[in-house]
Amino acid sequence: MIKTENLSMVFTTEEVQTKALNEVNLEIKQGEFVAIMGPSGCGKSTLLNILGTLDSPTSGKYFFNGKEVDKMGESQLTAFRKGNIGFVFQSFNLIDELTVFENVELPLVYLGGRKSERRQKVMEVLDRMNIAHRAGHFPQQLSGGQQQRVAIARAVVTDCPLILADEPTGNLDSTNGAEVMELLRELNKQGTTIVMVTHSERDAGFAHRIIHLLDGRIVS
Amino acid sequence: MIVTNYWNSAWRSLTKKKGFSAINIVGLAIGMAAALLILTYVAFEYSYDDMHSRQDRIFRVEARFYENGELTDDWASSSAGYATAMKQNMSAVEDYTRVGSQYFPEQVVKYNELLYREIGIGYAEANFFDFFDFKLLKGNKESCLDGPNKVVITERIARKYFKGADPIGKILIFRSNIGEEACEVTGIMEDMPVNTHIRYNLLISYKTLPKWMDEYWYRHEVYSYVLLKSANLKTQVEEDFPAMAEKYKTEEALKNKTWAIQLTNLRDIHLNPQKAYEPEVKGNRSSIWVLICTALAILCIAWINYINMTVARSMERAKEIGIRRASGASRRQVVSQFLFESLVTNSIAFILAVGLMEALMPAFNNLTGRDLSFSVWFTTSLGWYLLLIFAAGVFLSGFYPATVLSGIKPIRMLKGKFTHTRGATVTRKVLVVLQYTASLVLLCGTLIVYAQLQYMRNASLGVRVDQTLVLKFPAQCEELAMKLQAFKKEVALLPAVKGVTVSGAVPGTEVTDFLSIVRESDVTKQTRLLEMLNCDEYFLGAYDLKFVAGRGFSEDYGGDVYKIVLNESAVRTLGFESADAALGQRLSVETVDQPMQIIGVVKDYHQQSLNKDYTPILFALHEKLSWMKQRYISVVMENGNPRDLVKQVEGVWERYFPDSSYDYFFLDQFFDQQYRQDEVFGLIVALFAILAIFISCMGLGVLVMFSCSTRIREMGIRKVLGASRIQLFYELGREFFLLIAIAVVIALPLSGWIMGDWLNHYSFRTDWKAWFFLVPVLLLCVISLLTIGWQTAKTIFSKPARSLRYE
Repeated sequence: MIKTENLSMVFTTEEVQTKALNEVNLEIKQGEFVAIMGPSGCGKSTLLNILGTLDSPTSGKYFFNGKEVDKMGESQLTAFRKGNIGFVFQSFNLIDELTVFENVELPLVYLGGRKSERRQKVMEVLDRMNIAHRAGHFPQQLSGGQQQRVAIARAVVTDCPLILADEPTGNLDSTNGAEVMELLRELNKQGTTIVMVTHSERDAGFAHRIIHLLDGRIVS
Repeated sequence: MIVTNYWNSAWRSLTKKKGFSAINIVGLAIGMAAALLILTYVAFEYSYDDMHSRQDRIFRVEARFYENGELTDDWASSSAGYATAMKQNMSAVEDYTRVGSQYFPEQVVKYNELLYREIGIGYAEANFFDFFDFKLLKGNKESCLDGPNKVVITERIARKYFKGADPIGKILIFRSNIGEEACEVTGIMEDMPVNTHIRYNLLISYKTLPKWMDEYWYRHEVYSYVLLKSANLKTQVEEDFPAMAEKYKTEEALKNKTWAIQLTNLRDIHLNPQKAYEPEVKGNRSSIWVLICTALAILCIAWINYINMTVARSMERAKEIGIRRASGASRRQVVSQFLFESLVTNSIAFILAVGLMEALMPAFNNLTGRDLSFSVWFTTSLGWYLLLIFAAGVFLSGFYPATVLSGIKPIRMLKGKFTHTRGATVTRKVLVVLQYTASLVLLCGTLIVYAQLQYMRNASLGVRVDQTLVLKFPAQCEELAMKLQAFKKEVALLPAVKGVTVSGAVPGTEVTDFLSIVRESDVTKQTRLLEMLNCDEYFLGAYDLKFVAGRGFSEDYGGDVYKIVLNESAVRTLGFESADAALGQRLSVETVDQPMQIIGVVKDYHQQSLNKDYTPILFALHEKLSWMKQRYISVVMENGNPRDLVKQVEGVWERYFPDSSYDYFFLDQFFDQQYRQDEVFGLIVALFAILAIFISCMGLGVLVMFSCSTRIREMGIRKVLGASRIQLFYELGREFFLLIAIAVVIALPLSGWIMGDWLNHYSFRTDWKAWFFLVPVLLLCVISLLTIGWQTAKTIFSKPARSLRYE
C-alpha cells in the first residue's frame, strides 16, 4: 500500500540545515498495524506527516497504492487525502468552535454528499466510538479520552483505508489510553491500515511491526 | 520617573517591530496629511476677510427688492446713495466706505510706451485704508485716495509698470470705452491676499467718478460696507432700511417694489450663496461641509487602523502588561501608558504628516488655484480646532486599546493564553464597518460629482460656444463707433470668419445690466427688473439662438432700434400667455424714450454654467441703449486653425485700435472655466476617496492577518480533513465579506442622502444612475478580495504539518 524510496527531508533555517529524514526506504502492506518508534527529534512525526501528505519531502519518492504521491500538486493532494487518509493527533486537533457532531462531519462536508447521509454516517460512527450522547457538546466540554475518541471518529468517518496516528495516547491517562488503543486495534481488525508514531512500548505492543528510527534513518 | 519608563516602553515597542510600526505610523501619517490638506483648504475658505480688526462689525450692504412680500431681486451690490443715506439716517451706522468696481473694473492702462488691459480696478473712498486693514506700503493713508484722479497700486503693478523706479507721483492713463482719465500714483499697497473678496490691483479715488454717481439711487454698481456700532444692530438696520428708502425712491422705476437690504458680515460673504453682481467666484458651503466630512472620515479611518493594529499586536504584548499588572501597576497606570504611546505615535505621525503636506502643497495649490500654507492655522483662531482634533485623536486611538488590555486578568496574560474577548472582537468589526462605510460614501460621492460634471459639460447649452473667438472691447478713442463698424466689416471678410458681432455679454458671463420693464398693456403698470443684453443685429444668429416665435434683428426691416427680443423665461416673467402672444406687444424700458415692440422669442439657453437656472433675458440693439457698456466682439470661425485667425484679427486690430491692448479668449474654453471649482472639488474628493480605500485596505489587511494568525491551527485541521483552497479562503474571508455587506447597506443610502443634498445646489442635475452605487461596491469588493486573498494566501498555501506544529 505504501512504499517510499530514499525519502529525505531537510529543514533549512537562516543558520542551520537539519536533516529530519535521511533516505528512508519503507514498505507497508494493506491491513498492517505499524508502530514507528525512536527518540525525540529522530524524524518520526516528519515521516508520518509526509506519509499523510501534510508535508512534502525534499527528495525521494512516495508511492501510495502504486501512485507516485510526491509528484502531485496541492489540489490533487487535497483530493487524494480526502478519501484515503484519516489522522489522529496527540493533541486531538479538534476545532473548538464546532460541536462534536460538526467536527466529525467536517471531512464529509469537504467530500460532498447529502446532508441526511452525512448525518446518518456521523451518528453511526459516534455510536461506534461510544460518544454519540456528546454530539452536541463542544470539545472543551469533554475529557481528553473523549476528545481523542471524537478525533478517531473523525478519522474513520470517511471509511478511509489508512489511519495515521501521531502519539494518540500521549495526552491521555492510562485507562483512556488503553481504550483508544483498543479502538485502533478494532479498526485494524476491520481492515484499516494503521501507522502509529509512539514513545510507548505498551502501545507499540498493539502493532504487528515496529520500525525504529534514529537520526532520520530506519535502524530496524 | 514613570514617564521615562513609559517613554522607554513606547520607544522600544516601536523599534522592536520596525515593519509593523512603520505601517502603523505611515498609515496614520498619510491619513493625517490628507486630512490636513483638506482642512487647510477648508480653513483657508473660512479665513476669508478675517484679516480686518473690526471684521465682526463690518457688513456689506446687499440690495434686495421685494414685490408683494416676495423676493424678486437679490444682489451683492448696492447703489452709491445707500451708504450715505444710511449714515445720515441711522444712528447704528458708525462709518461706511464704498468701492465702485462694477464701473469699468477692466480698463486699458498706459504708462509711456507700456499698454496693458488691467482687471481688478476699483474706485475706493478716501477712508478705504482706515476702514479696512489692508497694508499701505507707500503713501499717506488719509490723503492717498482723497480727491479725484489719484490711484493706489499694488506692489505687483508697480513692478510691472515702473520696474525699479519709484511710482509715486507718476501718471497712469486709464482708458475705458467711455473715456480716458489720467491718475497720479499716490500710494503702493501690499498685494491683496487671496483670501479676501475685496481684491483689487488698482484703486482709483472715488471722487474720480462722475459727481452725479455719488448719491445716486438707481445704479447698483458699488459695494457699500458699513461699520455698525454693534454687530447686534444688524437686524434693526435691515428692518429700518425699507422705510428710509421710501424717501429716496424719487423716480418712477421700481416704485412698486420694496427696497430692502441684507447686511452680510464680512466673514460670511465668501461662503454665502452666489448673488448677482458678485466681485468673486464664491466658495460653496455645502462643498466645504462635504470636504470637512471627507477629512474627518479619513482621519477616523487612519485612527481606526491604528486602534485595530495596536489591539491586534497586543497579543504579543500581553505578557508585558501581565507582568506590569502583577508588579503592582493599577489599571489606570496601564491606560496612561497606552495613552502615552498613542501620543508618541500620533506625534511622530503628525510631524511626518506636516512634512508630507508641505511637500504636496505646491501641487495641491496648483490644483485648487489657491495659495494655501500650513501657516493659516497659526494666523487665525482655527489653530485651536486643529489642536482639539489632534488631542481627540490621541485620546480616542489610545483609549480603546488601553481599556481592552488593562481589562484582562493578569494571570491570563502571563499564561499567554490571552485571546480577545467577544466584545473587543465586535468593536473591531464595528470599526471596520465604519471604515468601509466611509470609503464607500467617498467613492459614491466621487462618481456622482464626476457624473454631474460630465452632465453639465455635455448638456446642450442652447447656444453656440465652440469655434468662437471673443475679443475684449477696445478702449475709448476718436471715432470709435465708425472704427468699430469698419473693423467688423474687415474681420468679416477674412476667409476663416463666418460672422462678427458686438455685445454687452457673451455666454459664460453675467449679463450684469438690469433694466426696469413695464408692459404697455398692463393696467397695474407692474415693474420688473430684467437682464438686458445689448447687442447688434448679428448677435442672435451668430450665437445660433433658436427662435420659438417671430424673428431676430435685421436691417431688412428698416431699423429695429425700438424692437426687442425676449427669451422664454422673460415671456413667462412678463406674464404673457405664450411666445406667440408676446409678439407685437410693447414694453416700456427704463431710459428708452419710446416703447419697444417684441419681435421675437428665443428658446431659453444657458447664459452661464448649469449651476444656475435660466434667467429672463431681453435683447435689444445698442443704438437706443448707448449708455450701456459694450464689452465683447465675437468672431465666429469656420473650421480652420484658430491660431492663424488670432494673428489675422490682431493685424486688423492694430490698424484700428493701436491704443488698446489686444485681448481675446476662445469661448468654449472660457465657458468651461466655470466648472473649474466643481472640477477641483471632484478631484479632491476622488483623490481622498482613493486614499481612504488604501488606508482602509491596510486596516483590513492587518485584521485579516490577525485573524489568520489566530486561526492557523484551525486552517491546518481543515486542510488535513480535505478542505480545498477556495473553501479555506471562504472560511477565512467570510466574516469580512459580511462586514463589507453591512457597510454597503449603510453606505448606499447615506451617500444617496449626502450627495442628493449636494446635487440640490444645481439647477440642472444629472439623473440618478445605478452605477453610482454599483461601481463603488464592485470596486471595493474586488480590492477587498485581493487584500484578503493576499493576507490569507500564506495560511492557505502553507503545509498543514507546519501550522499544526504551532500547537
